[in-house]
Amino acid sequence: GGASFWEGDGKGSGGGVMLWRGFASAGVRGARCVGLARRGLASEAAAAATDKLRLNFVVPHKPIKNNELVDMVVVPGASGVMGILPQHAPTVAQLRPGVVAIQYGDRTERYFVSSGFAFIHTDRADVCAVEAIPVEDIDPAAVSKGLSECEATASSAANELAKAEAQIGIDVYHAMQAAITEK
Amino acid sequence: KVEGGLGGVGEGGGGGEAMAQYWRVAGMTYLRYGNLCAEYARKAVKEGAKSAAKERAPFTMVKSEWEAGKPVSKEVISSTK
Repeated sequence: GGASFWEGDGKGSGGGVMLWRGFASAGVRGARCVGLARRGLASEAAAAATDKLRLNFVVPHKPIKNNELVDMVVVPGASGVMGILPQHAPTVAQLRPGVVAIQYGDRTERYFVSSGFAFIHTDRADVCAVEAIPVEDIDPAAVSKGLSECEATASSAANELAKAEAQIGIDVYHAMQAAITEK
Repeated sequence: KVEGGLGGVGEGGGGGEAMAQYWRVAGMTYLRYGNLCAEYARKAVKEGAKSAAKERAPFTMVKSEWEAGKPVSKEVISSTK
Protein backbone atom coordinates (compact mmCIF):
# COMPACT_ATOMS: atom_id res chain seq x y z
CA GLY A 1 0.00 0.00 0.00
CA GLY A 2 0.97 3.62 -0.15
CA ALA A 3 1.75 6.17 2.48
CA SER A 4 -0.79 8.66 3.80
CA PHE A 5 0.01 11.93 5.35
CA TRP A 6 -1.38 13.00 8.74
CA GLU A 7 -0.82 16.23 10.51
CA GLY A 8 -1.06 16.11 14.24
CA ASP A 9 -2.19 19.17 16.18
CA GLY A 10 0.07 18.71 19.16
CA LYS A 11 -2.38 16.96 21.47
CA GLY A 12 -0.11 13.96 21.79
CA SER A 13 2.91 13.79 24.00
CA GLY A 14 5.65 16.18 23.02
CA GLY A 15 3.48 19.10 21.96
CA GLY A 16 3.90 21.21 18.89
CA VAL A 17 2.79 20.19 15.43
CA MET A 18 3.58 16.64 14.53
CA LEU A 19 3.71 15.25 11.05
CA TRP A 20 3.17 11.57 10.68
CA ARG A 21 3.91 9.56 7.63
CA GLY A 22 1.25 6.94 7.83
CA PHE A 23 1.50 3.25 7.15
CA ALA A 24 -1.06 1.41 5.14
CA SER A 25 -1.14 -1.55 7.41
CA ALA A 26 -1.03 0.86 10.27
CA GLY A 27 1.34 -0.22 12.96
CA VAL A 28 0.55 0.46 16.58
CA ARG A 29 2.60 3.62 16.52
CA GLY A 30 1.08 5.19 13.47
CA ALA A 31 -2.58 4.63 14.12
CA ARG A 32 -2.82 5.49 17.77
CA CYS A 33 -0.63 8.49 18.26
CA VAL A 34 -2.59 11.24 16.62
CA GLY A 35 -4.70 13.20 19.10
CA LEU A 36 -4.10 10.70 21.88
CA ALA A 37 -4.84 11.93 25.41
CA ARG A 38 -2.19 11.32 28.03
CA ARG A 39 -1.99 7.84 29.43
CA GLY A 40 -3.95 7.28 32.60
CA LEU A 41 -5.44 4.69 34.89
CA ALA A 42 -8.25 2.53 33.65
CA SER A 43 -10.31 3.63 36.65
CA GLU A 44 -9.96 7.29 35.68
CA ALA A 45 -11.02 6.51 32.15
CA ALA A 46 -13.99 4.56 33.43
CA ALA A 47 -15.09 7.44 35.61
CA ALA A 48 -14.76 9.98 32.84
CA ALA A 49 -16.64 7.73 30.47
CA THR A 50 -19.59 7.16 32.77
CA ASP A 51 -19.86 10.69 34.21
CA LYS A 52 -19.57 9.43 37.76
CA LEU A 53 -17.54 10.64 40.68
CA ARG A 54 -14.57 8.51 41.71
CA LEU A 55 -14.69 8.21 45.48
CA ASN A 56 -12.22 7.06 48.10
CA PHE A 57 -13.73 6.96 51.58
CA VAL A 58 -11.16 5.89 54.15
CA VAL A 59 -10.62 5.56 57.85
CA PRO A 60 -7.24 4.82 59.44
CA HIS A 61 -7.82 1.08 59.68
CA LYS A 62 -9.32 0.42 56.24
CA PRO A 63 -10.74 1.86 53.03
CA ILE A 64 -14.54 1.83 53.17
CA LYS A 65 -14.81 2.81 49.52
CA ASN A 66 -11.84 2.33 47.21
CA ASN A 67 -12.04 3.89 43.75
CA GLU A 68 -15.79 3.57 43.85
CA LEU A 69 -17.84 5.21 41.08
CA VAL A 70 -20.77 7.06 42.63
CA ASP A 71 -23.27 9.70 41.54
CA MET A 72 -22.79 12.08 44.43
CA VAL A 73 -21.38 12.24 47.93
CA VAL A 74 -22.71 14.63 50.56
CA VAL A 75 -20.26 15.52 53.31
CA PRO A 76 -20.75 17.43 56.58
CA GLY A 77 -18.34 20.32 56.10
CA ALA A 78 -17.39 22.54 59.01
CA SER A 79 -19.10 25.50 57.36
CA GLY A 80 -22.06 23.57 55.99
CA VAL A 81 -23.25 20.43 54.25
CA MET A 82 -21.59 20.01 50.85
CA GLY A 83 -22.82 17.94 47.94
CA ILE A 84 -19.96 16.76 45.74
CA LEU A 85 -20.84 15.99 42.12
CA PRO A 86 -18.47 14.83 39.37
CA GLN A 87 -16.10 17.58 38.24
CA HIS A 88 -16.51 19.60 41.37
CA ALA A 89 -13.95 22.35 41.76
CA PRO A 90 -10.91 21.25 43.77
CA THR A 91 -11.29 22.08 47.43
CA VAL A 92 -10.47 20.92 50.92
CA ALA A 93 -13.23 20.74 53.50
CA GLN A 94 -12.78 20.05 57.17
CA LEU A 95 -15.56 17.76 58.38
CA ARG A 96 -17.53 18.15 61.57
CA PRO A 97 -19.29 15.19 63.24
CA GLY A 98 -22.08 14.29 60.85
CA VAL A 99 -23.26 12.07 58.04
CA VAL A 100 -21.46 11.22 54.81
CA ALA A 101 -24.14 10.16 52.33
CA ILE A 102 -23.06 8.25 49.22
CA GLN A 103 -25.54 8.13 46.38
CA TYR A 104 -25.72 5.42 43.74
CA GLY A 105 -28.74 6.10 41.56
CA ASP A 106 -31.71 5.51 43.80
CA ARG A 107 -29.72 3.98 46.66
CA THR A 108 -28.00 5.97 49.41
CA GLU A 109 -25.50 4.71 51.95
CA ARG A 110 -25.14 6.82 55.07
CA TYR A 111 -22.17 6.75 57.43
CA PHE A 112 -21.72 8.80 60.56
CA VAL A 113 -18.20 10.24 60.68
CA SER A 114 -16.63 11.56 63.87
CA SER A 115 -14.39 14.14 62.18
CA GLY A 116 -11.96 14.33 59.29
CA PHE A 117 -11.36 16.00 55.95
CA ALA A 118 -12.67 15.79 52.41
CA PHE A 119 -10.19 16.47 49.61
CA ILE A 120 -11.90 17.13 46.31
CA HIS A 121 -9.59 16.76 43.31
CA THR A 122 -10.35 17.38 39.65
CA ASP A 123 -10.89 13.68 39.01
CA ARG A 124 -11.86 12.20 42.39
CA ALA A 125 -12.98 12.84 45.93
CA ASP A 126 -11.09 11.57 48.99
CA VAL A 127 -13.12 11.56 52.18
CA CYS A 128 -10.96 10.79 55.20
CA ALA A 129 -12.46 10.25 58.64
CA VAL A 130 -11.03 9.03 61.92
CA GLU A 131 -14.11 6.89 62.58
CA ALA A 132 -17.02 6.07 60.27
CA ILE A 133 -20.07 4.12 61.40
CA PRO A 134 -22.99 3.01 59.23
CA VAL A 135 -25.96 4.95 60.57
CA GLU A 136 -27.93 1.74 61.13
CA ASP A 137 -25.20 0.55 63.53
CA ILE A 138 -25.69 3.48 65.90
CA ASP A 139 -27.28 2.58 69.23
CA PRO A 140 -29.84 5.33 70.10
CA ALA A 141 -29.96 4.39 73.78
CA ALA A 142 -26.19 4.63 74.09
CA VAL A 143 -26.28 8.03 72.37
CA SER A 144 -28.85 9.41 74.82
CA LYS A 145 -26.93 8.02 77.75
CA GLY A 146 -23.64 9.44 76.49
CA LEU A 147 -25.25 12.81 75.88
CA SER A 148 -26.65 13.17 79.40
CA GLU A 149 -23.33 12.03 80.88
CA CYS A 150 -21.42 14.64 78.88
CA GLU A 151 -23.90 17.36 79.80
CA ALA A 152 -23.50 16.51 83.48
CA THR A 153 -19.71 16.52 83.16
CA ALA A 154 -19.74 19.82 81.32
CA SER A 155 -21.70 21.62 84.00
CA SER A 156 -19.54 20.28 86.82
CA ALA A 157 -16.20 20.51 85.00
CA ALA A 158 -13.18 21.48 87.07
CA ASN A 159 -11.34 23.40 84.36
CA GLU A 160 -11.62 24.64 80.79
CA LEU A 161 -10.01 21.54 79.33
CA ALA A 162 -12.39 19.10 81.02
CA LYS A 163 -15.30 21.30 79.96
CA ALA A 164 -14.07 21.31 76.37
CA GLU A 165 -13.74 17.53 76.40
CA ALA A 166 -17.31 17.17 77.61
CA GLN A 167 -18.52 19.73 75.09
CA ILE A 168 -16.98 17.69 72.29
CA GLY A 169 -19.00 14.72 73.50
CA ILE A 170 -22.15 16.83 73.48
CA ASP A 171 -21.46 17.93 69.90
CA VAL A 172 -20.77 14.38 68.73
CA TYR A 173 -23.86 12.91 70.40
CA HIS A 174 -26.13 15.67 69.11
CA ALA A 175 -24.82 14.96 65.63
CA MET A 176 -25.43 11.22 66.10
CA GLN A 177 -28.99 11.88 67.20
CA ALA A 178 -29.54 14.02 64.11
CA ALA A 179 -28.06 11.24 61.98
CA ILE A 180 -30.51 8.67 63.37
CA THR A 181 -33.60 10.82 63.11
CA GLU A 182 -33.00 12.19 59.59
CA LYS A 183 -33.97 9.71 56.92
CA LYS B 1 1.00 24.27 75.37
CA VAL B 2 -1.31 26.04 73.00
CA GLU B 3 0.61 26.60 69.77
CA GLY B 4 -0.39 28.66 66.76
CA GLY B 5 -0.38 26.55 63.63
CA LEU B 6 -3.85 25.28 62.91
CA GLY B 7 -5.41 27.57 65.48
CA GLY B 8 -7.90 29.01 63.06
CA VAL B 9 -9.26 25.83 61.53
CA GLY B 10 -13.05 25.70 61.43
CA GLU B 11 -15.79 28.16 60.52
CA GLY B 12 -15.43 31.70 61.80
CA GLY B 13 -19.12 32.35 62.28
CA GLY B 14 -19.40 34.32 59.07
CA GLY B 15 -17.20 37.21 60.16
CA GLY B 16 -14.37 36.23 57.84
CA GLU B 17 -11.94 35.96 60.76
CA ALA B 18 -10.50 32.58 61.62
CA MET B 19 -11.52 32.33 65.26
CA ALA B 20 -9.94 29.53 67.25
CA GLN B 21 -12.31 26.76 68.24
CA TYR B 22 -13.27 26.37 71.89
CA TRP B 23 -11.19 23.23 72.34
CA ARG B 24 -8.12 24.96 70.93
CA VAL B 25 -8.65 27.84 73.32
CA ALA B 26 -8.95 25.39 76.21
CA GLY B 27 -5.54 23.91 75.39
CA MET B 28 -6.40 20.91 73.22
CA THR B 29 -4.67 19.95 69.97
CA TYR B 30 -6.55 18.90 66.83
CA LEU B 31 -5.08 15.43 67.23
CA ARG B 32 -6.69 15.04 70.63
CA TYR B 33 -9.93 16.58 69.35
CA GLY B 34 -10.14 14.15 66.42
CA ASN B 35 -9.36 11.10 68.52
CA LEU B 36 -11.78 12.19 71.23
CA CYS B 37 -14.61 12.59 68.69
CA ALA B 38 -13.84 9.09 67.46
CA GLU B 39 -13.84 7.68 71.01
CA TYR B 40 -17.27 9.13 71.75
CA ALA B 41 -18.62 7.83 68.43
CA ARG B 42 -17.25 4.34 69.08
CA LYS B 43 -18.98 4.19 72.46
CA ALA B 44 -22.41 4.59 70.89
CA VAL B 45 -22.19 1.71 68.46
CA LYS B 46 -24.48 -1.34 68.62
CA GLU B 47 -23.12 -4.45 70.32
CA GLY B 48 -22.11 -6.37 67.20
CA ALA B 49 -19.76 -3.76 65.85
CA LYS B 50 -18.71 -2.51 69.28
CA SER B 51 -16.09 -5.13 70.07
CA ALA B 52 -14.44 -4.59 66.70
CA ALA B 53 -14.50 -0.87 67.33
CA LYS B 54 -12.95 -1.20 70.78
CA GLU B 55 -9.72 -2.54 69.30
CA ARG B 56 -9.26 0.70 67.44
CA ALA B 57 -9.08 2.81 70.58
CA PRO B 58 -5.95 4.94 70.93
CA PHE B 59 -2.93 3.50 72.71
CA THR B 60 -0.99 4.52 75.77
CA MET B 61 2.53 3.46 76.64
CA VAL B 62 5.13 4.21 79.25
CA LYS B 63 8.60 5.25 78.16
CA SER B 64 11.32 4.79 80.72
CA GLU B 65 14.99 5.83 80.43
CA TRP B 66 17.53 3.68 82.23
CA GLU B 67 21.05 4.45 83.38
CA ALA B 68 23.43 2.07 85.14
CA GLY B 69 20.71 -0.46 85.72
CA LYS B 70 18.20 1.97 87.19
CA PRO B 71 15.32 3.84 85.59
CA VAL B 72 16.01 7.57 85.69
CA SER B 73 12.93 8.91 83.97
CA LYS B 74 9.45 7.75 83.19
CA GLU B 75 7.04 9.24 80.71
CA VAL B 76 3.51 8.29 79.77
CA ILE B 77 2.94 8.58 76.02
CA SER B 78 -0.60 8.74 74.75
CA SER B 79 -1.56 8.76 71.09
CA THR B 80 -4.18 11.34 71.83
CA LYS B 81 -2.21 13.99 73.73
